[in-house]
Amino acid sequence: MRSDWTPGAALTREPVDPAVPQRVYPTGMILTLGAILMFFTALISAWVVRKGLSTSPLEAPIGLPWRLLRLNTALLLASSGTLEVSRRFLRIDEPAKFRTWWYATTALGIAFLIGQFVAWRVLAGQGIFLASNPDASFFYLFTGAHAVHLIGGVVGLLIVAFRPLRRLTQTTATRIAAMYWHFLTIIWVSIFLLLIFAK
Amino acid sequence: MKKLAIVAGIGIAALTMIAPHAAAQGCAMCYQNAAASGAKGQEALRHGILILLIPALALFGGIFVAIYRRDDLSQ
Repeated sequence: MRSDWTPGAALTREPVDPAVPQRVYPTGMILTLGAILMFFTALISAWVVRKGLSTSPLEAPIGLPWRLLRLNTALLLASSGTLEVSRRFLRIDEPAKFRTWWYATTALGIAFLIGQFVAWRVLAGQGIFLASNPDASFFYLFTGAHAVHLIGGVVGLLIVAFRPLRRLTQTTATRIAAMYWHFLTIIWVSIFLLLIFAK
Repeated sequence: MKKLAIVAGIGIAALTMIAPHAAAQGCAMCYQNAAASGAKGQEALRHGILILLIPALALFGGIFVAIYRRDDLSQ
């Protein structure tokens, strides 16, 4: 830990270690996002095939807590919005406002995760578990896999806010964090729309 | 270099076009399973394959577009 380190003010204009050019990091993030995209695509493909092959009346669609899921979706969309506001304040050099909005993004992300967990509890309260029915299995799988990725995103946001970064400038760190975060928002909205479509 | 890449790409595409039997091959068990799954099941499989194919091709194409555009910077 560097001696000049204070919480929330850890970011630097210049990298401490400039050995790696900054444009490498967005490229790496794009490749990572490609891998995550294929992971979720594979799940969606498996879900479509499984639904198409289903012939048993026991495999009827499950009733999801739609109001809660809509609220969660709104929270996640709002978090993407606050993240962009935060980055705008960084660009016009207002670090205090940048930090406030960055924390708001993190809080909204955590609220989304709590909301998803409540949705799980609601389903479990209805006696719908992972193995109840293929629709239930895929719902738990989609939300669980997405939540795990989003926990990583929250950790990323917290690291950018609280830890000094040796190799990344402020601009790069916030940029790749935003890429990851918006990508997860898009993935969740796509899954949510598919769930509505398949209702 | 770019001309060579384009010619090689067209050549490979042409080679795959003259081998139509390769497009429909698969293992016997998978084939029988798919054939036995009924019209609805076959449609589901087709959709599943398309869903897997589209983002994979987009990523594949996107990487080559990115390389192609980066190439100009080094000259």
